[in-house]
Amino acid sequence: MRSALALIRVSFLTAASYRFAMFVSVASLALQIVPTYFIGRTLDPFMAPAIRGEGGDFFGFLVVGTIAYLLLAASVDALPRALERGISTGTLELIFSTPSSTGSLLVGLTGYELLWTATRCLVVLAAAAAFGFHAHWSRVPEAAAILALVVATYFGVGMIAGAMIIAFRRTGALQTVVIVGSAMFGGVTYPPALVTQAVSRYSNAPDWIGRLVEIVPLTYGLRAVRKITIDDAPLRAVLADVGTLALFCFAFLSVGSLAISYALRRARAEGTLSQY
Amino acid sequence: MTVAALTSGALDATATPAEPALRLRHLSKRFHVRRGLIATLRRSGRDGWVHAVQDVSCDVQPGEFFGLLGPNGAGKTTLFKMLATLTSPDEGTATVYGADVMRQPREVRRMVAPVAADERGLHWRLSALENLRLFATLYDLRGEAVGERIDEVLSVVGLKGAERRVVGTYSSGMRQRLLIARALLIRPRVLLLDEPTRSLDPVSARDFRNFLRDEVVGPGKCTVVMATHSAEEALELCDRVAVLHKGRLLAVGAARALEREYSDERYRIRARDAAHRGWRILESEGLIERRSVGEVDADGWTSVECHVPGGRDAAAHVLASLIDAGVGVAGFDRVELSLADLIERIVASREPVTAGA
Repeated sequence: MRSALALIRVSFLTAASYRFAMFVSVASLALQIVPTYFIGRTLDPFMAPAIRGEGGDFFGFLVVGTIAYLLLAASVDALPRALERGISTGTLELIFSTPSSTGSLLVGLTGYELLWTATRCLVVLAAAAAFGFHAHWSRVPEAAAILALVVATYFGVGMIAGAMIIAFRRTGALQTVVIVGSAMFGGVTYPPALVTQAVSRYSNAPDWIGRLVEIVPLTYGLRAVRKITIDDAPLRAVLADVGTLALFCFAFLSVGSLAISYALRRARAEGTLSQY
Repeated sequence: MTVAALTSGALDATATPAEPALRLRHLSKRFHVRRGLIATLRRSGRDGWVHAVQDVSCDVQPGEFFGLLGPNGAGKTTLFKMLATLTSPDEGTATVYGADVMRQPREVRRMVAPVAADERGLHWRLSALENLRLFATLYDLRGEAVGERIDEVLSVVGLKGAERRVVGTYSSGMRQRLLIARALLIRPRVLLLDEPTRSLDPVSARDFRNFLRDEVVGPGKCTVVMATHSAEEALELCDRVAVLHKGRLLAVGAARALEREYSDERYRIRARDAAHRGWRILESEGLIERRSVGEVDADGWTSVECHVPGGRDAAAHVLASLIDAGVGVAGFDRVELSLADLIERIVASREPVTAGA
């Protein structure tokens, strides 16, 4: 744990040395809430029936979707980017030559990015509150726990991408497919039910496209968070969604851990841990 | 405070007193040569592997300064990476004070500190202090003593006073020293230096050698294994050197002893008259061979190089004969073998060493 904290601290100090970039990152997110507000309010009458089960407020729906999207993107991207950076700067080889455990090193390499994203989410939430976003604030801890499960699930995907970086130096389109696919089918800006309805309306579209929403973990996480924070639904109302998300989390983290472990073994066998 | 205290970490309870610092037995590593499809089809059937290290066996004793010599691609860096647990051997074993690099990598990492050839591996946007603090934590150093130790290593490498400066503003020499400081921080029992002066100017390189000789090398201090292309480093610092070529260990021994063994008794004589009949007499008597005459300098002296079979006694006899014959002699020196010549001759003459040295 000390190793992880030390690496997080170093990442923070490095990021803090780019003060202007840090400021722009926060300011742009806060400003992004302005168009989100107007789009949310304008489309609210049309979208309200479709999102009735998730609070019925389209602006709130978009705010929660934006926060989940930020966390999802950071979870998928943080590890492969950190490993790529470590390989190109030569720091990866050195930290892997220390007695620290692989797990603590991976947490340390990604911890800052995830914490920083969480901070940016709070900025979005604060800006949204200033624009009239009404949430059941007492339910935020439960929502945060579900979002943590979303992060852990997608971190598993990030581990697979990280393993590809270690083994091949490339991830192909894995991160893009997962992030964009989850945004499209997971209900970031519109309810997943709309995808299924749209597919059924067009007879020439294959049915399986409509069913994609069911294999996107974000679908379950977002639905649960929205029900809790916007609709004040009891926890038992989201247990099925949370349970499904937990299964995804277990599966993705298991595969990710195996992939990282295999990639490190392969890199040590091929002597490519530090090649860039 | 010297490095003696900084590098004499607590002895491993599992290590016996007679345990060598490093024990390599039949260590081998090969890498697959990656080719494009067309190259693979053109060269199908040929060996697609490069043998980076082949059947290397030798011991390095505690406190020894051990040099690794060899041309580029000889396998030095691969050997280092195996000792640092960054690359796994295909065959054979390597132990560090009894700990196997494959079976006990974490124990090995606690004892071994690798220092890379380049200045990568540092966080350039952070200060030296922050870089050292990070690695102190990664090596699980705890307590107030960490701050003191950081101060000590900074003093030893001469970076005290510059520790709060961002590493990106350091010169190459300063960054090299910081890499050494980072390695010393953990009180390593084995220090692996991969061409540590490669990016240094001649003055900095000399200072660095002095620093290694004065502060790092010596009885009771840590074992050092250094890959180098520098004759000064090999001859001045190393107790023993090993010559690697195409992954094979060709020779192990004291650098001066190897030099004597492989030099060919060639002498350079500053003479007044290179055409004097005394030279021909010596040649006809077989006292000198393969005579070559250089340019005449502004003062009228000529540099004559020749092979003198029979060692130093024969050389003394040749000198006396020249003077007796009336040849003016202003200098009579044995031609020192360059490191490149030494390596070349060892490579040309030696069969691989397969037994433990």
